[in-house]
Amino acid sequence: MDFSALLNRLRDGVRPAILIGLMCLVVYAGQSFSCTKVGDGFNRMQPAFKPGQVVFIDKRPARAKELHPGDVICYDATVGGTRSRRVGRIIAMPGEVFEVDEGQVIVDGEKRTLRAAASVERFKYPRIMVPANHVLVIFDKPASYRSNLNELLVPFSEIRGRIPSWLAARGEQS
Amino acid sequence: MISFVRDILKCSKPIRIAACVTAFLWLVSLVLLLMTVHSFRVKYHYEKACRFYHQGNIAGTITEIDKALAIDADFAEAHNLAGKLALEGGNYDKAAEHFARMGKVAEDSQEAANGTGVTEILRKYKPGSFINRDGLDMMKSAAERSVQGRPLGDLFVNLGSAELHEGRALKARDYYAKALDTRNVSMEGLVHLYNGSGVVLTRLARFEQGEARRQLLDAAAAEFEKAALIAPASRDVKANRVLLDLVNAVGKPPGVRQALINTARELDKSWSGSPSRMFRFALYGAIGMNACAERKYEDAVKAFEIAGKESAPPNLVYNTAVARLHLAEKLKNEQAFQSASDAVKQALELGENALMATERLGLVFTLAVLEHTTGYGEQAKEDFAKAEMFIGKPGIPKEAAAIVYRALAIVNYEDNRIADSLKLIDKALDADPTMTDLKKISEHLKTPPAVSRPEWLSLGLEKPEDFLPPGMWPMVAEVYGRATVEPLKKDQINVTIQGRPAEFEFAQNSRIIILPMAPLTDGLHTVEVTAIDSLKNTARNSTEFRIDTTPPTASISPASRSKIKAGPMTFTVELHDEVVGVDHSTISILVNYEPDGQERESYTAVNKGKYSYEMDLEEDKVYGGNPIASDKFGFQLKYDLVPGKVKFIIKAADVNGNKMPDFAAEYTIEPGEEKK
Repeated sequence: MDFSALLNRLRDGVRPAILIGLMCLVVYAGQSFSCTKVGDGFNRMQPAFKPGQVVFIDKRPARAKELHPGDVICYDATVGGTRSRRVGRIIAMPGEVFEVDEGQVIVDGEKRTLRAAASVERFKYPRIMVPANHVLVIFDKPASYRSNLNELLVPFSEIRGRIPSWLAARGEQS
Repeated sequence: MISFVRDILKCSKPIRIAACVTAFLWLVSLVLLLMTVHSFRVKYHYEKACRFYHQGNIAGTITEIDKALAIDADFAEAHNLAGKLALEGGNYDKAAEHFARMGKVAEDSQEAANGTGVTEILRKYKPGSFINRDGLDMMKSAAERSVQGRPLGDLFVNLGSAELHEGRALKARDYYAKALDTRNVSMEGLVHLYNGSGVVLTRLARFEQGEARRQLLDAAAAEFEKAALIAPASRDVKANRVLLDLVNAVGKPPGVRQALINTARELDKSWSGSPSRMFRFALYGAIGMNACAERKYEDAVKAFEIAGKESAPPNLVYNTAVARLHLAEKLKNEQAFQSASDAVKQALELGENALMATERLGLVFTLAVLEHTTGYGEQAKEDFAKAEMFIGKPGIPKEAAAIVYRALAIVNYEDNRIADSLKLIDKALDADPTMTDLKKISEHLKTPPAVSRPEWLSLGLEKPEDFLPPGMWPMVAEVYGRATVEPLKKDQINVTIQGRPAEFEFAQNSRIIILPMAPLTDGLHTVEVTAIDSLKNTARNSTEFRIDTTPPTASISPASRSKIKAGPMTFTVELHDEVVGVDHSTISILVNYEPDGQERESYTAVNKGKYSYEMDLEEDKVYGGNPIASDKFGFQLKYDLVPGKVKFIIKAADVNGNKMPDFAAEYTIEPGEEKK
């Protein structure tokens, strides 16, 4: 058998290899990115995200625990025994001390400015440390009541992914 | 495929090598893929278990954990979660198994040490016993090792909670502070931490008074608020909040206190399992402390006994012993000597139990002092001797040794063993040279004949309010005594009121609370306190106070029921209170003047001093006038009367709030110009 014949045989094998590669890419994309629908009854991120809206999420930062204050995340919450998918902005990371005093959100003794802070700054929160493996989120829409922190503390295991900044920025400027 | 391999084998050597390398790479990729799938499956089940755990789906969590462990029996995180679950379910053996496996897989794992420590503590913790020290030591050594890496805050939280449970609030506070410093505390740990900090502050508040107490209680409430913000449904937090309110309730009306106790009992009824035992223990401990503060020692003993069924740490045993001693004292005063004797024996037995359980110098010494001050001299000597055995042991400070030697010196001195006493004083001074008073005692003992040194004993006497209002019985005055030689015993203090003996009780910080043996009569009283210490130094102090329970009296001129003539008329009202005087702000006069026909409050005096007043009945106006020339307070009412009837109702109280019965005066006004 000459070399050109072998090359032809190998070329025939390229097609399935490309197919497998593509399949791997699809699997990777499926594992890394996703689209999800925000819970119908959840309207605390308006106007950036409306209830029932489908959002694009990047699962990688959450999996690698590479999230930062200001990131908008999509997570699952159980309220009153019902699971729903929510969106919130991270304001404090594990181990940081969160406090709201005189309308100012203070994290680790420093003022942390976020437009979304409107949802909490109307209320006084004592100095509380964010537990390990949790992040503290707040919402864009001002709340009419003081949330318990267990509504705002999100375990890493419940985070579905981060919403890319180009999608989430809308709420920042609202 | 086989023909393809044959073709490759027929090729030249470089092609064969390239083909082999490619095949090898495919194989490696396949293995890696399989491994990834394996790891992915484990992680998938573990993460699912974590999600179920956060949702409170315990059955789902167990299923997923089992699946994860079936795939990889050495997956440390899964063992950690499984251990936690077993711990929550009270299955300590299983929990210990999981944490042990985790410790083997992940060497030096703080989570494993923490879990094992907590398991050991909880497993060996039974009603009536004490925290297992092996568990504590395990966690302590893990905590010490962890300082080099990233410490696990939960270790410190659990150490703090264990110390708190043993009654060492300050140590617990230190551990909680360390836990916060780690910035690595789990959600459950954080709830325990804030909750525990609240409990620490509540306990510390019990030893404070006034503003300091209020600040501590406010701080405790803030800590509970933090815990409630994180875990609003936590019964622990609710329970501790109720306990805080109970501590706050000392001195509040019995109804308020009872309502709080009822709330706490309701919470207790709706709760079962290990945490409820701890709550019941704390609840009845708090009820007992409340009862002690109100001197209801029977109730206190009952409450402490209920608490003791759940747990019996040294502080509870000690509190029960003290309550029993107070009860004994009360029974003795009621001449129920047998019951009193039983109560003392029980108290001593409890003290002994506490001693056996803790083997702590402080408690031994406290027990000895307790016996010493309550007249159980022989027992006290034995316990002081036991306390001496602790001297020199690790962890016992020199100052503590000095205190024990000092106490032994006093006991020996009381037995007239002066030489032994002097030796012990020398030992005490060796241990703590700052005990300058001991030097004085030593000099005093070495210098015969003994000279009384009055400056060694001083007594302060806090003057009570000048005028005590009615209903404030028993009268409470506070005497603070500072005896530099030794704490004074009851038989070394004498209290009299107006020369008659008065009862008193010891309070904290050498204070005593004076209780008159019978209600005092109105007027000026003198309270006198004298004390004599074992070196025959004497001190005396006295102060005066007034008692007033008599309301003011009123008189009016012309006399009531007189017939008076129409025309200008002046009524003179006099109010008199001998001790404290009339409270002018309480005076009111209701006038029913028939031509007017309406009853109304016409006048309320607000001015202080002895003035006369003129009142215009038609316009309800009062005009200030001149003082009436007497030592009585009064006023004059002047107006022009027309025929009919007029009635005055005068109300007043004295400065102490003693209200006078309504004073009424009625007049018939007849036509004519003559006035009576």
